Amino acid sequence: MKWRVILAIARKDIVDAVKNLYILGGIVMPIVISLLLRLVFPSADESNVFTIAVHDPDGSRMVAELRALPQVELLEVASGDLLAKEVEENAVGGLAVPSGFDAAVEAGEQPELTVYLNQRRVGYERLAFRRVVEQQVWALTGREFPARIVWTDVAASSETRERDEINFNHYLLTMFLVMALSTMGAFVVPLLLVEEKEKQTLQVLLVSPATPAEVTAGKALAGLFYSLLTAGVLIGMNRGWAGDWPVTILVLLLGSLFLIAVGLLVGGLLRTTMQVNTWASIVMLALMSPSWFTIVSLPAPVDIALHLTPTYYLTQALGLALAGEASLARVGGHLAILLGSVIVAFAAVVWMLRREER
Amino acid sequence: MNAIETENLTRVFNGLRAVDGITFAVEEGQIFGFLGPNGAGKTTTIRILTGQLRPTAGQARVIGCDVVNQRERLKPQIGVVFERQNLYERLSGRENLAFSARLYGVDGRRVDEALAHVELQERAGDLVQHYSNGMKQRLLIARALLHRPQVLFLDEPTKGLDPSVARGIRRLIAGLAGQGMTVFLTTHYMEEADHLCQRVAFLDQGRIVALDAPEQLKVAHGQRCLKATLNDGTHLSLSLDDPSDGRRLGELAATGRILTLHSAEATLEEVFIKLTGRRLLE
Repeated sequence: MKWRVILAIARKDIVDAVKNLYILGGIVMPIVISLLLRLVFPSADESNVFTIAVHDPDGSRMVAELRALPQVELLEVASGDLLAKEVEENAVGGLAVPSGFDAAVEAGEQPELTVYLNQRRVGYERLAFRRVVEQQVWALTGREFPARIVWTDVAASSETRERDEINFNHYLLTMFLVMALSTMGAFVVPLLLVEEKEKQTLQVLLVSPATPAEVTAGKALAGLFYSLLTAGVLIGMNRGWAGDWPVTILVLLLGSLFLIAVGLLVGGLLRTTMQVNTWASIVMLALMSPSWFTIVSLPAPVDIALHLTPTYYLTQALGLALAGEASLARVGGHLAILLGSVIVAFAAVVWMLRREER
Repeated sequence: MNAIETENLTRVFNGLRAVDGITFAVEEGQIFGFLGPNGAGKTTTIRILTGQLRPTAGQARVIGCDVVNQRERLKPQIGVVFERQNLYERLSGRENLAFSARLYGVDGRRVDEALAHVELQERAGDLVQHYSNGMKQRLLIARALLHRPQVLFLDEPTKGLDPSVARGIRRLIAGLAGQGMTVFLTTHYMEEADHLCQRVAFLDQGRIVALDAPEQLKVAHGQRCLKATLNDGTHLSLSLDDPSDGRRLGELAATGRILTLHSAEATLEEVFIKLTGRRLLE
């Protein structure tokens, strides 16, 4: 593999793609739809404000600073005994600030701060709450461990959590991300390949030092660039995002690679733009469909069919990563299936290239 | 030394022998014309020689490289101008060449040299979709020459161009051979081949039916004769090989009855018709 050749092809495609209104439409469509839906559902962002119950008899500096944060709504609780109940019913978490907390912190005594965490709340809320608490505690003195935080879980079975995990904001974002990756993979990448065949510029590439594998890798790289760029824009548009960056990036990368490989297969089989319009749309819809049904119960056969689609696991892993719930135990299986799908899909691309070569 | 050699080269598509056991050689620095009507197998031969298509049987070597087993070594040494104007239309002329330069690992400064060579510097920044056919053809040639190949394959380089543009392209091709480049030219314009090529091969239904220098073909397959118009308006054809026609010519000249007298050697077109019974543009 010659990286000079691969990068030259990718660079040409990245520039050329945005000059093709048709391909440009495919790239920006998920962003435009996302913007339109945000206009239709403006309330989707409101869930980013979370409620914290506090029992703070002395009126500590930390609670005063929490009160000033725009994304925090404080619920004052008169008694420490009522705090857990209040958290369970009305808040994502609670703080039991002991008397003399500020003075103890100043004296470097590391006072105990009991923090309640409502396990019934969605992952991203819990994650955001934890981050806010940790940031505020650390900000108290600028020293390490100004207070000892004791985390206490409140309520909720795992069944309840699974059901509650779905947040409309995340549902939309997951759907748009899967839509964007599917569009890049099943529509844009095949177009990049088919247009070369249609205009007979593929012949030019194949008499140049580029091998078929390098041409394919160049197209894949251009597709990956636009997939990750669009995903980045979509996440950027989602104000107050509080998911797991590393897992989200890993899931997006694996999902993109799988869908790009599918696109290369589609592009390898088809010969005209018209064929791409017809067949790639069907493939794209099939790939996107698992992201539409995460909040509804489906008949068993449909559910089984969705489980057979690798994008189902992309949707699940992405949903968990965006919600800040992407522990290895929860997303490990999804990632493994995605990785397996990427390997199988690229093996199919290599097989197709060898078969078609002359 | 030969730049191109083929031996019994054959390509079969679904039982149809598009190229049928052709054997020929092209010397280095020569312009070699591959002539034949549409469907004769010209483009298939180019596709085999440039490593795009595997032959069903036979062998071919270009610059000493086997076109099947040494493609990667062959590719940087050849340039190809395809029959279709396959440029990236949404990119500018300069961007098209810059892309090719990156593919071949050629210095970017070579782009401007190539543009200057085909006199496209002034329009280099324009999108190719706004170029005329002649400009596109010149850009195709610049692209094929960018990496200074040893052998240039030209597939119908003047097809569909108006006569003045075609003349310019022919001048360009003639200039390349003057610099020592081997040119493999397919065309069905006989005059073009006659004007440019040191040797030509006639291809018909996948087979070479004649191969020689244009002059030799015309001599071997044409008639050596003179066309005379007499003062009374009579037209005569007088063979140079017939002693009685020679005597008659002498008598006519002596009596002052000849108004005009022209040599009438066969054209390549006539040779082709004689050999195949068909016209080139059929």
